[in-house]
Amino acid sequence: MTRRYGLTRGDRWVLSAALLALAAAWAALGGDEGGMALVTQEGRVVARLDLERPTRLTVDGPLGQTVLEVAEGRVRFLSSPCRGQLCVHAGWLSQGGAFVACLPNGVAVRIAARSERYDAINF
Amino acid sequence: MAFGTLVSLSFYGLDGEAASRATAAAMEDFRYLHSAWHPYEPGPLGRVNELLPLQGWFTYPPSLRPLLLRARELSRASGGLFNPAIGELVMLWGFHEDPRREGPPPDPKAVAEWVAAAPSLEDVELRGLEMRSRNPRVRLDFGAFAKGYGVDRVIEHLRELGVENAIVNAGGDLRAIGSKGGAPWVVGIRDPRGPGVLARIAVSGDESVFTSGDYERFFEYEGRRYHHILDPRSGYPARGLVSVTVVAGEGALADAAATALMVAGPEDWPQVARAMGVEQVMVIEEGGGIQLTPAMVRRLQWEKPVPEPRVRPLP
Repeated sequence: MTRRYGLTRGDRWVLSAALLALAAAWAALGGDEGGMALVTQEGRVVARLDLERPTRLTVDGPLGQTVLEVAEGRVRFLSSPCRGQLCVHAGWLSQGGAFVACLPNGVAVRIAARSERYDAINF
Repeated sequence: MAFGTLVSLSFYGLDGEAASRATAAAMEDFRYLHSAWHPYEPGPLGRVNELLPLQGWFTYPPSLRPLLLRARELSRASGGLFNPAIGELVMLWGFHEDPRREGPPPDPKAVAEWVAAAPSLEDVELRGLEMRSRNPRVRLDFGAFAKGYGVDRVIEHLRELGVENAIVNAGGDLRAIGSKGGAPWVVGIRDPRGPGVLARIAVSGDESVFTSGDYERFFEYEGRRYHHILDPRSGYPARGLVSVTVVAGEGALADAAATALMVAGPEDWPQVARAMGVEQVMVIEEGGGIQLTPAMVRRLQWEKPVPEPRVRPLP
């Protein structure tokens, strides 16, 4: 009889549950600072920007490089290789919950914070 | 196509990883729908639009069928004010290009010819997966409802992924499901003429909030302003209203109705709302006046001083 370190179905359940709990705890602890911008590319987190630290960030996407700028507690799309330039025209983001995504290049920015007046703006 | 390249998603009660997965799925859906339904670029709908003027039967992509059928129902209900066969008129005005190429409004004679030809979805025959147009001037453009229809599909997909609480916001038009841990989602309706938010509305369960406005796409020529919501009866931009906000369950319905009511104008919109089956409506007149349905009065909380709204019961 060979001894294997394989996982049974039950083991996998326990392990996945534990990993999920860990992920949830991490999200609850770390995911809610104010003044942070979460940058994703194709849904994957590529950076967490402290809005109090002026900086520029270049994110690579299918069309090329998107450049984000952080200054004075705000963040914006400084330049983008996309055609529409809607992300650039969206201007500065500072309010908690604010979100701008450039679909053509797959880059999204969300300001993390809890106290927000509106969950969404309709226009 | 006015498909809102700006899409935003909000989730409640999802851990970071699940939210990332759901976001990636939704972005992928929007990207696919954008290319599939783009009327003026090569793609499934673009190809259909090349074949329609030939007036023979041809096979169309099966994925377009539910979209076509729902569009036809809504177009009929609106009495043709929502008209997805309007593509050629959109091109005459240059609104098919983003940004629009600078230049004057179209030749009035060309517009009059289009109006006389009166293309509509009634000219399009469907036979299983084949279609043909009896009117060579039919060119499909689902811009006035594709955003709503697309948001509906994305919400459906998110639900399949187990997402229960979310807002899918495509360029300011949104559908919200579930709640924020029992508290409703709060949506701010932007003031179409001034800065900031005009009113707030609390939504929960499953509701869509869609606004059509004359400020979304427009151009100016020799001191006159021309916006993109075209009245198929005149061939010219709809007149009298600045914006129409519709709250309804289905995004496609809210989207098509917002457009149709803009076209109907400040006096006639309640009949069209009744015919399309929407009850919660706010319209803003060119002079700044506000009209509300009785059902909408109960939903809105003003965020700034407004003139006394005129309440319009539906017939």
